[in-house]
Amino acid sequence: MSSKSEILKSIKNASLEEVRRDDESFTLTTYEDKLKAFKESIKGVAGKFIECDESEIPFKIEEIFGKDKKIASNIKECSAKNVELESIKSPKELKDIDIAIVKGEFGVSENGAIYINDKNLKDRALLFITKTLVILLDKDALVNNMQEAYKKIPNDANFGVFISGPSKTADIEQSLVIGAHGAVELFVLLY
Amino acid sequence: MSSHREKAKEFLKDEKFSSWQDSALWFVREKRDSATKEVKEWEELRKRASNIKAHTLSRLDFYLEEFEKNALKNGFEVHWAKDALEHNRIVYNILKKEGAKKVVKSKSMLTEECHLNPFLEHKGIEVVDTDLGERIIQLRGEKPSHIVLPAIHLKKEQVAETFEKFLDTKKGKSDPTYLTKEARKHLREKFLNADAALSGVNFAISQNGSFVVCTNEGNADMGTSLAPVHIASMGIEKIIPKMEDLGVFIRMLARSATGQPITTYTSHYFKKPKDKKVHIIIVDNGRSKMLKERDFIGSLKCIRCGACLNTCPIYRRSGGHSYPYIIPGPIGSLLGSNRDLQHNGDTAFASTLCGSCVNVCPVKIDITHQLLAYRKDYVDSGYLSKSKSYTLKLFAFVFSSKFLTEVSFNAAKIVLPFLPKRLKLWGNGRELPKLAKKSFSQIYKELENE
Repeated sequence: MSSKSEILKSIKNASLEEVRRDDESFTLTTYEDKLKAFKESIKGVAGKFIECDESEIPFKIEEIFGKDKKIASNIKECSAKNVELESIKSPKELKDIDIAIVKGEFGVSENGAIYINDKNLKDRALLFITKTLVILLDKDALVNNMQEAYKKIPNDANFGVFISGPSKTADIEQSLVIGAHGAVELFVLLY
Repeated sequence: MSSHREKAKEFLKDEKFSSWQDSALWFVREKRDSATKEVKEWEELRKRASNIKAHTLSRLDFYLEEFEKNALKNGFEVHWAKDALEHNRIVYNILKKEGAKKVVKSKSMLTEECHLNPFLEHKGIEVVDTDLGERIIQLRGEKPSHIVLPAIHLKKEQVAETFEKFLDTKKGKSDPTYLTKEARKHLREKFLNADAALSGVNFAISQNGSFVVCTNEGNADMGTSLAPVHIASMGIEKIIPKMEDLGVFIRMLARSATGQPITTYTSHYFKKPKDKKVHIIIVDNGRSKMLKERDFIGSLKCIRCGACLNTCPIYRRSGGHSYPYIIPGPIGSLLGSNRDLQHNGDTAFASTLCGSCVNVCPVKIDITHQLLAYRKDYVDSGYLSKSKSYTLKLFAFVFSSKFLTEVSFNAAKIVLPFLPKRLKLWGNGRELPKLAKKSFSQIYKELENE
């Protein structure tokens, strides 16, 4: 007998009575001002945010990061980028990227997380290997909580991730250190 | 093998450090409390999470088969392992087939349970743990002392010494930021040169055959996005039915674990990317047996948040290494006792049964009831030491008679204050409270007569 059938048989042998699923809905946390709550959450997870008009985005990026950085982006109109993602053959070539600029699908007010998928991303490694991650997010694309968030995720990407702030660890004596393996800095450009 | 008690005594010798650990863990517990208070539906979430898990466990065969069917559609390869050895062999065979010599691994208690690292190392494969805490203890040749904070038993100076030896860091420099940056550099090289990435699974979704991995450091993501092969190991109990169920669990996991509203990275593996290979190993290793043990089935709901460890007065004051099983603390005492009652069962007694663990558990596991049930099994199996066993029999004999109970209480009132300290039960580090002159039943009788 295969291990699969042995395991399934062993589970069936427990002959458990089915526990009914409780699908009754209950009231979830919502916010009068989703944007305000989102911004507070971003601060709480050590992220930074900047508000600007959509047309100002390229100037903002130049203003913050200067010109002598290696900048990659999957956004066609992004004039700040100077690394061509399409010519990259292996994700390892992304190792010296200073700044990655990507678009977020939507943000979650309760925890400052932003959902990003790999649909328009040549390589998802970009999100994690870059020193600084800049996420462009439409101010109107906010949900209150994770229950609402999971209703918005279509099943059409290979990979999707909620990112909430820069990477962090407290593994040495519980001291919080920002920048463990992923991005050392996270900016959200709210337009 | 020394008992939990003896090892705890050893841990408590360094008074300064043991009280630091006690308060550090309590601080995490307090962060958890304030994070949960932000969510007014917290208790509803707990009930729902517990219900979803109970429902899933009651139809586990169905949900596992659904998961496999959908995972295959997504291009993932699915393997089944009855036990630890089969799991390790499957991992090794995949690596061998792919010609992989260097692998990076993100945190997975399951692979610890299976002792995967020594198995692979023995076959000549380099396995690098990439979670900072896990890397530290891997370099030191230790086991984790906490499921979420694996290196909580170490001082920064000890980490500095370890890094000086293995990572060539500056002598005597123990600043956590400096050490973390050095580890980042060291592990970047490992990520960039890895042939395969191993990970655990936090949740596997039956409905669409996808799975979720949560980290704060981004180490799982670095590993799986850079290496061409990804092997994800999951226990059969990691299944949840639907995507929408994640809404409940993701809101609870990090808040319960560290007091964060969500982990930095919550990554969803939906489908196999073109240029990668993704394997999922579904592992039983004793879990399906637990389904048959009605008293103990609740432990299978565990989402490994570690909240019961942080709140446990015994865990906080005895340290993770006093527990013989790979998972310490209240939940570890249950899982360990289930796996090997003779060797791990004494940890069922490493509890005051105060119930704090039950109150913080996001999936409402009946931890104290189970601990009590394991104590019974432990005693019934004859594993209790002779002296303890005789004492308990004596107690049982005395307390089953009203007369003897009264006599012994009256005698105790006279004798107890004069007993030498070491004879007093729980006497170490404690003073007896002043005994009342009259017992409750005496006062009651007097009041009745008035």
